[in-house]
Amino acid sequence: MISIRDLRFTLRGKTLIHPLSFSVRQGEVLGLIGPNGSGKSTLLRLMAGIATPDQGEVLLAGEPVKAMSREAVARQIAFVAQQVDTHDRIYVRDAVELGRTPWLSMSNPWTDKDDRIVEQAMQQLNIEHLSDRTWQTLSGGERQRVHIARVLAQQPQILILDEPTNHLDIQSQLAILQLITNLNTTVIVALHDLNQAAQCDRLLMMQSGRLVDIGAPEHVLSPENIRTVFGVNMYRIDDAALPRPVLHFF
Amino acid sequence: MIQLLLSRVNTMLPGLYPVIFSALVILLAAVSLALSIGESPIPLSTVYKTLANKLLGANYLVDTIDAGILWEYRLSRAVIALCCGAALAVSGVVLQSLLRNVLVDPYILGISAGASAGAVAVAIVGVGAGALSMSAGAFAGALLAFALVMLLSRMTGQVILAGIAGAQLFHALSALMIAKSADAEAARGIMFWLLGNLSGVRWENAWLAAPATLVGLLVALYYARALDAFTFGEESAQSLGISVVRVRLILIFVTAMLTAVMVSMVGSIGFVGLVIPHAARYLVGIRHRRLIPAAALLGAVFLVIADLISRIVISGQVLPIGVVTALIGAPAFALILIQGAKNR
Repeated sequence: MISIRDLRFTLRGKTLIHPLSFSVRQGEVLGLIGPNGSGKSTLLRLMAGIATPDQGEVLLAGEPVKAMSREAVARQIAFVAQQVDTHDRIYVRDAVELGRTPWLSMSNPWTDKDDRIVEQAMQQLNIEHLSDRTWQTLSGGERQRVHIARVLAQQPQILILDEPTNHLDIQSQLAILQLITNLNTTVIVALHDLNQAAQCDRLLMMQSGRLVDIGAPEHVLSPENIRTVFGVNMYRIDDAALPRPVLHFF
Repeated sequence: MIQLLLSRVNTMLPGLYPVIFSALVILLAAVSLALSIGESPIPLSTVYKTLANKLLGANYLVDTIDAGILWEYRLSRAVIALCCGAALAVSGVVLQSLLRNVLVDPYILGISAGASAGAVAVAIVGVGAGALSMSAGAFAGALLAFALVMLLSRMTGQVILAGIAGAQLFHALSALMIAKSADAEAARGIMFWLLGNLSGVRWENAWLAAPATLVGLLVALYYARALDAFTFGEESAQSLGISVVRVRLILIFVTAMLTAVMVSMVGSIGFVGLVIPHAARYLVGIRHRRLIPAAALLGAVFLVIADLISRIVISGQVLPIGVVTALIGAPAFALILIQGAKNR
């Protein structure tokens, strides 16, 4: 449903994304992995239509994103960048309401339906009790939940998240990850923790702006790939007591 | 029915009604005082009678000199003060939201200084050979200053310092142009363009100030939702469907227009655009459909009162209004900085 065709991105003479093509299937969770500076964030920004490629295109259900209005794109793709913050004393409820922006206009004002959608999103993230709290009083995990509630209120078909578990404690990390993998939307998510990435439906591995491999986690997370891309060795621990194998790096 | 409608608006805009209502009452009181107080005090009863005669066609007997002072001088001055306060406050709200920086306003960013220099270039140096109005010159100066400041800020990542540099440069240019004109009134002129003054404004100015303020206010309100979307930054706004470049261009154009129109009439007045948005945010929160009208009203009240103070604080002399706004604004600015440091 979202396809990348021959996409390339150059910034100040430096190619950050070398031409690459792939498609994301409807309803799948696609994890992006790769070392720092491998181009994960840039690729996500290109897919969200925030950055403009200098070659190739992003297609949404066959239609090039660059031919669509910003509003039309925002009704289909929602994006949470890394470490999005504000100095404004915004209330949690107001922050989630921002998600309705692409659906509203002078002729389509706020209605009870929008209230319901916002409340549902807050319920899904379990943040109704934070409704009247201001942004500055929230913990990192709570802020990330608010961001995700906001993009859910946007009712997109595709959710793009850049390292949503970064800087969170382990409990919040697991909660956010579980939530993402259980959503009924297509999700494209950059992740640092490879054991967490293994929970995605498919993985896309990047190195220096190039696509190294794409496929099922057990295929992409091979000792050879890990050695080539991350420069470390990997050992796979299979234990019947665990829901999935654990990857050990050394 | 009306009750239902009002309650619906109230649930949409909680906290706004009391603020708007109180600000309107205070504004009316301030304007009444501004009309009554001055070199020749005029009783409030005469003020209301004159207004009733002029506006409602009543036939109260009032002294014609008093009526003349009220209508020709004081009322036009009060109308311009309130338009100017509203326009600068709304410009401040818009710029602070667009640039994601609570310490900017048209004055800090050098837009006012650019407008001053543009107006001086037209009025004193004669740029445009009479074909350009002072407002047009101010507008060109405002846009030029803003473009320069933004360029410097992009290159250095320091928006405030870039603004200070721009403001100093354009203020110096204004002073240079006035000094070179070798006019006996030069020094007074410099004071006017650097610190603002409402003496000398007439109804013809109000006929420009009022529509400009109204248009600016309506455009800002139209983009209230887009401004909200900037809360989490430019990329967030973009991913919420906002055409960031277009919205920025339109709103920067509007703030430059508002600032230019005001500066061409009253000189550059600082601190209104900086401090009033903070006060308004404190009272009604950060959503722009509430913040913009609240800031406009508070700005209007603030400047009418500041002008009143500037006229009465030294008897027989009119203090530049910028002195009054700075005396109130600078400590308020310090408080904002301290509060900001505490929150960090």
